Amino acid sequence: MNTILECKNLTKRYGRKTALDHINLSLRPGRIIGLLGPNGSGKTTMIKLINGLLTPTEGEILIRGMAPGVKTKSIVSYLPERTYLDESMRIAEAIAYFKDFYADFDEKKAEQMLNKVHLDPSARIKTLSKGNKEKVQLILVMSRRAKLYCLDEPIAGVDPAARDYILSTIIGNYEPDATILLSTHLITDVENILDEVVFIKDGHITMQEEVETIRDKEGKSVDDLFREVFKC
Amino acid sequence: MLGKLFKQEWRSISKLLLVLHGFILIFAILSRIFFEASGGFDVATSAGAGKIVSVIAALLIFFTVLILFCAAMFTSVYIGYRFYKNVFTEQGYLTNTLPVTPTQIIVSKGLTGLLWTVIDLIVLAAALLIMFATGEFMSVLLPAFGRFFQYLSALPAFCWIFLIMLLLSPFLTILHLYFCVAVGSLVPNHKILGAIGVYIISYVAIQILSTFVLALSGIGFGVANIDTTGMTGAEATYYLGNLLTPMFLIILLCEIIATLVCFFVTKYIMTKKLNLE
Amino acid sequence: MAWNLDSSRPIYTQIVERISLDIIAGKYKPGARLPSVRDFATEAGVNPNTMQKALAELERENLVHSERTSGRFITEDTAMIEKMREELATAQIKEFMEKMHQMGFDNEKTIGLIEKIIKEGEA
Repeated sequence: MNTILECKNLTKRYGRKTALDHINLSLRPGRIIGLLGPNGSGKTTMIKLINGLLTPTEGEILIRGMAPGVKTKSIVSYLPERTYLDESMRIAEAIAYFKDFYADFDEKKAEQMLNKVHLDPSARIKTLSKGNKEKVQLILVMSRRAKLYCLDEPIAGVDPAARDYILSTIIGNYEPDATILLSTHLITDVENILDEVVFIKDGHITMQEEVETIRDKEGKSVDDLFREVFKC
Repeated sequence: MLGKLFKQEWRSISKLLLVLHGFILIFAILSRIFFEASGGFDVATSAGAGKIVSVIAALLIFFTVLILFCAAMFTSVYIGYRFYKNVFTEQGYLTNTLPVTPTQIIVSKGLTGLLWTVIDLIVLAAALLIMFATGEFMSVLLPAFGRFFQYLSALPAFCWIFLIMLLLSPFLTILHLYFCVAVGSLVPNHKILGAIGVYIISYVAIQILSTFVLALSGIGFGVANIDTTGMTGAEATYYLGNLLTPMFLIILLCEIIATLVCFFVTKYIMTKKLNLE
Repeated sequence: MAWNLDSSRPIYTQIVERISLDIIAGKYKPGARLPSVRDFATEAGVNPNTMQKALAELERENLVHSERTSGRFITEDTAMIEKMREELATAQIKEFMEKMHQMGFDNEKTIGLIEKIIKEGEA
């Protein structure tokens, strides 16, 4: 299996507005890939399509050759921008919930990670600070041994310490043969952990390149290149 | 997966509803204790009772009716609200990315809701009995129940159809709630208002439609001119059966169609038109 | 994150430089075991594939060798480490002298200045 994700002429329109316009993209397993673009460029639409929260207007999207459905949902681990947990649950209940539904969920790993950040499993989610809620969610998502992790703006609006925690949790916990698709507009913060970047602008993919190649050939950071490409 | 969904839904929906129904039963028991202490229900509500006692008794009866009514309403609304919250708000990001089908989600939540609707009815009936039942009353009620089951075997067809309609109606009620929530979710930024709007519109539509169906089938089958004078019981049953069976069948068919429409529209919206923001 | 890397140059070469320097400086002792790729990458805040590539490069340079099951180890060849240290120092001095020449200091003047500064430092 040498593609984890494939988009063929993928198009999504909301009424008259085109969010994604005939996108062709293919991602390989075992890599950390940045989906980079300014706000409103189509990143979230793309990630929602992968997770079956939206259906394509035209074209298709395939995860390991399968259209989004029960099978793909069992191998894709998704971290949306929002807190999606039932806040009246305790952390331990959320863990039990994930364990119930995801065969690839590693309960021990989740408990260890919680322990490391001193979160009490018996605490109710609604009593946690915003930062801790995000941590719990990240821990749940990264405790799955998934094939594709979709992380939508995981470091938007967090302080530098939390950002370091999030990035090291990502690096330290994904399965080596899995792919991470990480969408963000904060490039400086993440570019060192990426293998590859996909630039997205107004619903079009403008570039897909290895980050080391960019540094090697252009002699500039991904962030500098991004600023150049997306100059207003 | 259906079992797991059901288990999780049961757990999270039951917390609040258990408290509510527990409260109803406790309220019923306390009221009964009050009535017993003040010399029985008849005495407490009679004109001859002390002023304070009769005021309290009147208030208790008023509150009982209010609480029972509200509890039934709340249970229904809560079942619809849970569906809304789980599927169409931020929690939808998790619910809709679980490795399950929309059908499984609807069925698991629907069954949980159904079970709670039944529990609600039982608790309401129990509360009424706890408050007002006397030995005399029970001695009439219990044999009546027994006779009901005895007659069940000899029930004419139209009664059976009517029973099926009754049993089916909670399914329709719940799926209708889901239908309203799902269609309402398509209204940008005002999902709840949308759901309420859809509920009102579809309620009115159903009323008009059912009146129409009733009137048409009534006229068609001559139900409007029922006249059983001078017939024996068996003759009347036969006569009524001939008139009512086709009419009830049509109503039952409409009910089944409505249930299916609600289900498939909800499923379609969850599959193709999910609108999370 | 921990390591200060320049995002405009290939990360893997910077990792190679950084680890080489740490070996020369004695932060990693000869024969010592290196952390796993995953842990190392987490510590450095870089992509594990990049770390893998950098360690492979260090292996190619014989600074590091890997045992099939037990991980990666620093070379025990102290003579080689010593040689590398000298090479690095030489490169630094050459660069320095180059700059001094640009400023108009010849070798003699430069050495005189160095001696003066050292004495002042000791005083």
